[in-house]
Amino acid sequence: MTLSPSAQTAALAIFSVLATLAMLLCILTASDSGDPLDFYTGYRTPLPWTNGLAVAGDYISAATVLSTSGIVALSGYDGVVLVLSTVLSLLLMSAVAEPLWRAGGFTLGDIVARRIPGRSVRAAASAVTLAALLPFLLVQLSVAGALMSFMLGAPDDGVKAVCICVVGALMIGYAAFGGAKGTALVQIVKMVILLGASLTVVLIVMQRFHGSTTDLLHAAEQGSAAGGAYLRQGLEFGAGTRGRLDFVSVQLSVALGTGCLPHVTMRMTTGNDARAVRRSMSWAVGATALFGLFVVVMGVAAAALVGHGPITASDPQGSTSMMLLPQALGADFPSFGEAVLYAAVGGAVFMTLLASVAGLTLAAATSIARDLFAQVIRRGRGAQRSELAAARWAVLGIGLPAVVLAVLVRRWNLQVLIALAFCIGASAVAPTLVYSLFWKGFNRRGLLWTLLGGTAAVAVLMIFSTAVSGSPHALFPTHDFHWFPLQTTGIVTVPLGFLAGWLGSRSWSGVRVRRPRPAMEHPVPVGVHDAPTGE
Amino acid sequence: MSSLDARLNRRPAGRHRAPRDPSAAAEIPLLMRAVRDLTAAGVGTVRGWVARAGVLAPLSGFLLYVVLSAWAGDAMSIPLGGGLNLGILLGLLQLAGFLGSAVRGELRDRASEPPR
Repeated sequence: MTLSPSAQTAALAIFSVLATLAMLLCILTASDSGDPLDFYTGYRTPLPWTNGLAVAGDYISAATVLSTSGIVALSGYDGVVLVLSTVLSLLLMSAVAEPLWRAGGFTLGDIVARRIPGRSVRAAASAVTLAALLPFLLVQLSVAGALMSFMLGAPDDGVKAVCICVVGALMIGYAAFGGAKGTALVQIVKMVILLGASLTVVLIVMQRFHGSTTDLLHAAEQGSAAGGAYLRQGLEFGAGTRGRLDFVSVQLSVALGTGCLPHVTMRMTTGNDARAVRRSMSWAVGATALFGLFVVVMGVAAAALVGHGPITASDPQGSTSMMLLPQALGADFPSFGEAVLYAAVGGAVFMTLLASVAGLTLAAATSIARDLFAQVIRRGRGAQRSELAAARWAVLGIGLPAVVLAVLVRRWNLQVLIALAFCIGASAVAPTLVYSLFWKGFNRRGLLWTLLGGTAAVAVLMIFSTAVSGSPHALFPTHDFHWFPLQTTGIVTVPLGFLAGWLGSRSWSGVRVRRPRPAMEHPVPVGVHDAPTGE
Repeated sequence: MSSLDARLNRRPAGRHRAPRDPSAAAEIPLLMRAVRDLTAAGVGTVRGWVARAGVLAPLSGFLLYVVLSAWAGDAMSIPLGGGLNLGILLGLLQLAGFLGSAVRGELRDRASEPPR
């Protein structure tokens, strides 16, 4: 499928306009108060719908939009369930948004240290945050390079590298100058453009099929080259017990892990009172569910109108299906209509790419500045201005290596890193949040076991999974050192993470080091007993 | 790390009460302790379940749907009207349910907002 020059020009023009607009917004709204809290919070008194759209914007990342719509287009049923689990994850988080807001703070370290303080806790929380967010950032940058070079009609290696560098430079600028306030605005603009463009595409699709779901689904079954199997579970993960377990594992990891990733929770806790927090979460879930519905229709329409062959020829995982659909639709309205539709969807995807990389960089930098720098290195006694400077330098310190790395590995299939982030969210962060918000018996050892044990279990199983080696779509397709038979680890590591937290919090008479009882004439204040064990 | 915290006058970790006799804790089997912890978390009470219904209902419904999709594919592909089958329809209904619960929550909270 070739692009007309007018569509390319329109795409390039709209990219420049959007990038400049977003940069202006960031610089205009940036606060110069020198208070790091202003850098981390969006607005002190946000409207529910603006904050809700910002949460949804942070939540709907570019990699998830593109890969999910691709899976809907290529595998139908499996993709629909994936959309469902993605929306469900945010719905589940809206139930814990209120206790999270009461716990206060921005980073994972802030949330857990409220009940269980200490430098080790802060360091572990920051390590887990970075372990989840940095791979996620890398895959977003890589997708940005691939998608932008595709949209400009020049999908070759050099263009891809240049595109990654441009997106990376913009991302560092947005995060460092704008802080949470600037990126919130970028997220809101992105959500409006994304929802508007997808609604337009959905309406054109429905008009094309005269509003008949029968015709649409029938055409999709034909176009997907799978026939009746398109509307049955099993196309994406294969039939048989292993494929079914893989399906359950992916859905479980996404449903539990996506919503509690630190860049989402950081945005969720902005608000004046519990009601404002609840209302903004209602808006976020509503916007996400609506967009999920659009993704389902667009994916099915891509299968029907573009077809399986052209989609896999452009990208084996179908990530470009969202861009191929407007081209197929635009063929009805020659030249001008095609250019406008293509540029609108391209602009929405471009904005999504920019906003998600900026949001991820900001969240990772916040964790470094607040947890590592302010609490672990300066032990909570540093000046506020130095914390703000640390946050800005951390944006650069994360952004630059991420861009360089993304350029170096631009030929690899990095889908496995999305799964890694979700699995860490589901196996380490979710048990930690549930226990520290709802279980009084949770203690420091349980916390460290959950955070570090859950992450380590995910990392080890993931390295030896079929997503890294031993399958044609793996990270290293030519090697085979796998012994874990699934693509995602959630089905094993989620129970493991919960178990680790509970076991760690128990007192083990055999494991715990016995201490001499305090002498009666020097009573130790209640609560200090647990402190000096040195464990 | 904890000795550092003590020196920094931090609030110590743990359950903030005097330690139980460790020999007493060791006598209770692991399974009994799990049951006791779950009871303490309100799992055995009606009130505990009602409070968690907002989370548990959609989550357990979804997990049931996922398991049925995987192992009862024949039942889920029973054709219904409009080109849809049972599985796709159940999925879309859940999505609509999530959207509906968000709208309902917003309307409820907006109604209870005090006038300014």
